[in-house]
Amino acid sequence: MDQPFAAPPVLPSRDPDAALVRECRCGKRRALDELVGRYQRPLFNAALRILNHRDDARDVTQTVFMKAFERLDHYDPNQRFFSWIYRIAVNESLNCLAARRPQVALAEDLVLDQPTPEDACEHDQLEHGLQSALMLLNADQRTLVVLKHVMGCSYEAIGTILEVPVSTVKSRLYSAREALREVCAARGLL
Amino acid sequence: MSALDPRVLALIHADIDGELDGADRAGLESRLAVLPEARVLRDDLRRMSRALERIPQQDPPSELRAGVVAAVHAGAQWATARGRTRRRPALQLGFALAAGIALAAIGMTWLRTDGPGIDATDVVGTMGQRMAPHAIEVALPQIQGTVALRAGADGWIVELALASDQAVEVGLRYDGGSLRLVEPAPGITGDPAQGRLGFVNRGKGLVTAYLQPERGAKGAIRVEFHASGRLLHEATIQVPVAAR
Repeated sequence: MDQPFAAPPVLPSRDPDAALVRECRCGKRRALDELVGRYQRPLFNAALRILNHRDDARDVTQTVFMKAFERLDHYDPNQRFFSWIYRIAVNESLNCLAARRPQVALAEDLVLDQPTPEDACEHDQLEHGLQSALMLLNADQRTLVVLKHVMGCSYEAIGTILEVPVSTVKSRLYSAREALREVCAARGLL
Repeated sequence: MSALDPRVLALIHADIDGELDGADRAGLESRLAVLPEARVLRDDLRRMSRALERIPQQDPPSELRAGVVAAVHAGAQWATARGRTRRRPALQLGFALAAGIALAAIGMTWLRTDGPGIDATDVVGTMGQRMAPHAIEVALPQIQGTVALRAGADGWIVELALASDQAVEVGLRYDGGSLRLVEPAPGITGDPAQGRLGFVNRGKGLVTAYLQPERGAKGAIRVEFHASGRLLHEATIQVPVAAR
């Protein structure tokens, strides 16, 4: 699995996005295109797992890029770019959820759970039921699980994204995982 | 939630996340050996986390990248142009006068519909509906750039960031009953009530028009490019329902 958000090394290293961000600030379209290309997939998938709705995830991803590049002058280069843009993505996803009417969320639940015949051969029942189980967690819990297990973020990265201490990340993640386990068990997925 | 000792729980979760060193792992295994409930929990969490990590990533919509890049690029040019015109209002006025005179001299030929037809292309009709950039990229020999629709505070902002070596007439056509021109940029002329606006592009610049939709209205904005009385290209930007 592609994990662009793995824990940063102990020794400080250059943000692999730093040069592109600098070029973007100078109006270089090629750099902008490369950054969008680099992040569109992870941001879209994170939003998709939090929102469980493809069109909403697309809209959120677009909005994230628009806001990020409009505010690029406010980006602190001492911070990893992925943390910064991911924080925008999480906030936008949560805003989208808050604005969503409850019946919409219910009606569109399970959209991502319908297995194709090929999927059914390759994956088990648990995998197919996980997205709908995730949707039964509250948004904060779901965000934590998505960041950790779907996007592969480290505790430290999640702490930076959510602006909470690592100890808080751990305790909330543990609770979220146990809540998800209970949902899965109740649905006969475990 | 589990009634297990919090220290055992912490070890289990740390194990799931691959955070245990050898000594801690040995300690956990010795406890799991005498705590069947803890072993079941660890096995369930392990299965669950592996299943989560196997969820396949989906490809974003194919038009996403190009739409974002075009819209962001247009926005950046717009910001630059705004900054430039704030510092040099005389230049802005000059551009408006020159464009207006040129447009009058041309006699609004861009509004003609009897030129060689090109099917309207809904380039961005599938883009998002909420705060989504709706943009088309113009890559003609005579003119290049982007035309982007962005959500403003109470309507839509059409941003035309274009560059041309020769005079190219750019026309916007829309339903004047559904969209109301709020604030035309300098240089744009036409008949807003009839949904006809236009300007002449020469060189590099950015022109904006603010359109306010009637409540619940949606529609389309047709963008036309003419040179020497000939229709070069036309494309359509779909306007989503109910801009904020």
